[in-house]
Parts: sequence; structure tokens; C-alpha cells
Amino acid sequence: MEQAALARVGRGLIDTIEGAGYNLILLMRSVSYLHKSFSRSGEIMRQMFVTGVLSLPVAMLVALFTGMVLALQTGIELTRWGIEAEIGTIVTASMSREMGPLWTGIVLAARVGSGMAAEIGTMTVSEEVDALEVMSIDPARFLVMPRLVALALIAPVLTIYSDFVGVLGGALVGYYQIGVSYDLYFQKGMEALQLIDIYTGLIKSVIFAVIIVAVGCGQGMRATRGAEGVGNATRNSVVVSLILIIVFNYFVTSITRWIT
Amino acid sequence: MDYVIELVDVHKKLGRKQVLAGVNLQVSRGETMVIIGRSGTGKSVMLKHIIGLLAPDAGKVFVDGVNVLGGRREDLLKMRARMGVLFQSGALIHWMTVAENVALPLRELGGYEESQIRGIVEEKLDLVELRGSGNLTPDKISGGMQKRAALARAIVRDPEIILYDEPTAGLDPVTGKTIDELIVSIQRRLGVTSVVVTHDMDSAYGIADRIAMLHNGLIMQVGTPDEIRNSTEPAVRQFIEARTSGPLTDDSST
Repeated sequence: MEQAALARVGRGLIDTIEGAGYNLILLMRSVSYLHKSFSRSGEIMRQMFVTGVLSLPVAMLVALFTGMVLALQTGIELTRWGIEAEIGTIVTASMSREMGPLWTGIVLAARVGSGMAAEIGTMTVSEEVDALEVMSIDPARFLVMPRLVALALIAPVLTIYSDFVGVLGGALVGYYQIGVSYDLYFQKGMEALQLIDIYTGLIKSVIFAVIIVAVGCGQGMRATRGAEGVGNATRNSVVVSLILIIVFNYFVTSITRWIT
Repeated sequence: MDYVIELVDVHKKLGRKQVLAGVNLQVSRGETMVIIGRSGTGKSVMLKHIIGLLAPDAGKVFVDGVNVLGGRREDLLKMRARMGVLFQSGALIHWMTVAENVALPLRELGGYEESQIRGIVEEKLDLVELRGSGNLTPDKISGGMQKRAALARAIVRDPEIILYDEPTAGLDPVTGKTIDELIVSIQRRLGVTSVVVTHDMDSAYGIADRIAMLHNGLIMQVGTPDEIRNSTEPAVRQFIEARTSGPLTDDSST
């Protein structure tokens, strides 16, 4: 009984390490084809539309309400101390440093990462990936590289939009619920805004994009057993991506704070 | 003897199941070898060993005397360039049109002018009787048309070896017969060596030069269609007569 439980834990651990290794190798193989991006430009554009443009409404909605709730919560507290004008500082700094890239990453993991796992998982179980192999076409070049390039290009753009819309949401709540004028809010916001925060946010968004593609495509390529396997791959891709995004978010912030 | 494909004592375990337990099989140049056996006996696994999609746990697979997974990846890719594979599901890339699918191996490997590619694609679509369907995506065509489109893609580089995985599975008898006729006509026109996995005996008798029966991870009998038809081997008899009781079902129930 104890032995069986131990064996299950061991198998789980081996599977996790195997999966991580597989995703990493797949990523490295895709990176090795980056110089051939031009030959897949059509597919890269298609992926940029699917992953970026179609994610825009959800990402903006999430960013808007994130900025609004930040302004509301901090505004209520700061009003007690008579320094409610500082919500401009807090919302702008929070959105550009943390909330903008993090929530964009989370939205992309949920919407794009799961989509990649489901699409490539379906291709795997319907033997399309095998067919590519047999035609001497490396799936890392044909399927993964275009997605990697597209998301790494589009994620920073979405993050900038999220930062902007989040700050705008904070301004609306600041004006209508806290009583801070737009002028004062944006003046404080501009004072708080540092170029390094924006850079850090953009670097984070590229790292999150790489995580989402490596995990989503890797899970899809390892899908087995028909519809159930595709479902598992999709679920796992979201869970693993979210965990990695949150962990990497902390370390990137730590490293940039340490460097600056 | 000039064997194009040779499996020597191939063993493969998938999960806890010993799927292949010492398979030995030789396929001669220009021959159509049909592999029959019940579902789940490892017929497709055997095919995947020949293409190098799976590596045997023990034993070796040779194509033209070269160990399939014994060399560098470049050697494997070169070997695959001489092969065409028709997958059970067709495996057409779902977002591409029929013509784009057929052209895919030519475009991706390079060395062809666009006008050349268009000419070759048209010729192959003609061969599988799909002229005029090139602009349709796989979800807009029937299962039989998908199989024919996949067959056109499999032969687009004029392969020397074609592997067919359940080419008539899931098709109505008329469409199945059309696919059988295509396999025979391609074999005659291109002089290819073919390995066909099926459990459709009408199809097997119609296209095979020789038939091999796979059971319990081993090749139980190899022979011409007539030899298989007149086989005294109880498991072969049960399979070809589609009887529900006999050694095949007794083995699987134990």
C-alpha cells in the first residue's frame, strides 16, 4: 500500500521532469529555426491575429477592472489619510510594473495557451503531427516556431494596451468614486511612471509568451488517447503556464530590482 | 533475395502491453504486402517502426538494407523522402486546402518552381480522381475524398515505398473499393513496394501479392491470398471467416 503510493509519487515526479525536459527541447528546437521566420511569415501573421487581435477585448476588459479595483481599494484607504491623490501614483506603478504584464500573461495562458494545446493536441491524436514527421517536416519549425514568434511579438503590444487601459480605469474610479480630478491623477501617474518599469513589464511579457507557447505546444504534442487526452493537455497547459508565469514574475521583478 | 523492408525479431512494449514480441517479416521490391489481424494487435505499430516513428525495444528494422533508426537524423529524413504514408485518418493538415496539403512536401522541402508544383499537384489530384476539389479544406469533403487527397499527398514525391494504414476503414463499400483500385493502379503505374495494414479481407484479397497475419505480437502466417484463403491455421481461419469463437477470441479473453 505504502509502496504503491510511493510508486505513484515517483511516477508523477518522473512524468513532470520528462514533460519539462520535452517542452524545453521543443523550445530550443523552435528557437533554432528563428532564422527561417520569413519563410513562415504568412502563418506568423495568422497567429498574431488569432493570439493578439482576438485576445484584445478580454485583455482590455481584465485590465480595465484591475485598474478600477486598484483605485477603489487604495482610494478608500488613502482618503482616510487625506492623500487620495496618490491613487494615480499607485495605479500607474502597479499596472506598469506588475498588473499589466501579469494579467496579460494570465489572459494569454487561459485563452491562447489552452487553444494551442487543444489545436496541436487534436493534430497529434489525428496523426497530423506524425504526417509532418513522415514528410520530413519538423513540427518544431512548422507548428511551434510561428506561434513563438507571433506571441513574443504581440504580447508586449497587448501589455502596453493593458497598462494604458488599467490606468484609464483607475482614473474613472478616481474621478467618479474617490473625487480625484483627472489632471491630478495623471500628473501623479506621470511622476510615478519610470521607463525601467515599462521595460521590465515588456521583458516579462516576452518571457510569459515563451512559457505559454512552450507549455501549450509541448502539452499538445504529448497528447494521447483521443478526446480525453486533448482535454488533459488543454487543462495541464493552463495550470502549468499559470504556475510558471506567477513564479517567473516574482523572479524577474527580484532580478530587475536587484540590478537597478 | 532483394528485400526492401525487413523486420528482424522486433519487440515493442507500449505501457504494460507487449505489442510486438519478435516480429520477423520481409517485403520484396515491387511487392504489395498486406498485414491483417484483429484491432489492437499492433499492425499500425509495425508500420510506425518501418517509418521510424517508433523505435523497437529489441530487434531491427531495415529499409533497403539500412537500419532505420541506426544512423543520423539526416539519414532517416533521406529514407523518409523515399516513402509515402497514408494514415488511417488521412491526417490532412486541417487549415490547408486539399491542393496546399498535396503541395506541402514539395514546398517545404524546396527545389521546385511554383509552376512545377502546381503541375505536379494537378497530376496527382487527377490520379486520385479529385480534379476540381483542390480549393476545398478537409472539413468540406467526405471521408473517402479525404483518404484520396491524403493518398495524393503520399505519392506526390513519387515514393518507392508506400505504407497504407487501414486505407478503407470507415468508408462505405463502394468508396472502399475505389481506394483498393487506386492502390492497385498506383502500384502498377509507379511500380512501388507497398505495405497495407487492414482488417478488411475483401480488400486484402483484392490488392495483396502476399498476406501476413499478426497475432499475439508475432507473424502467424505469411502467404499468397490463395494460401491464406486455404489456410488450415485455426486463428487464420477464424479471422478470415469472421467467427466470434476460436483461438483469437480465446486468447484475448485470457
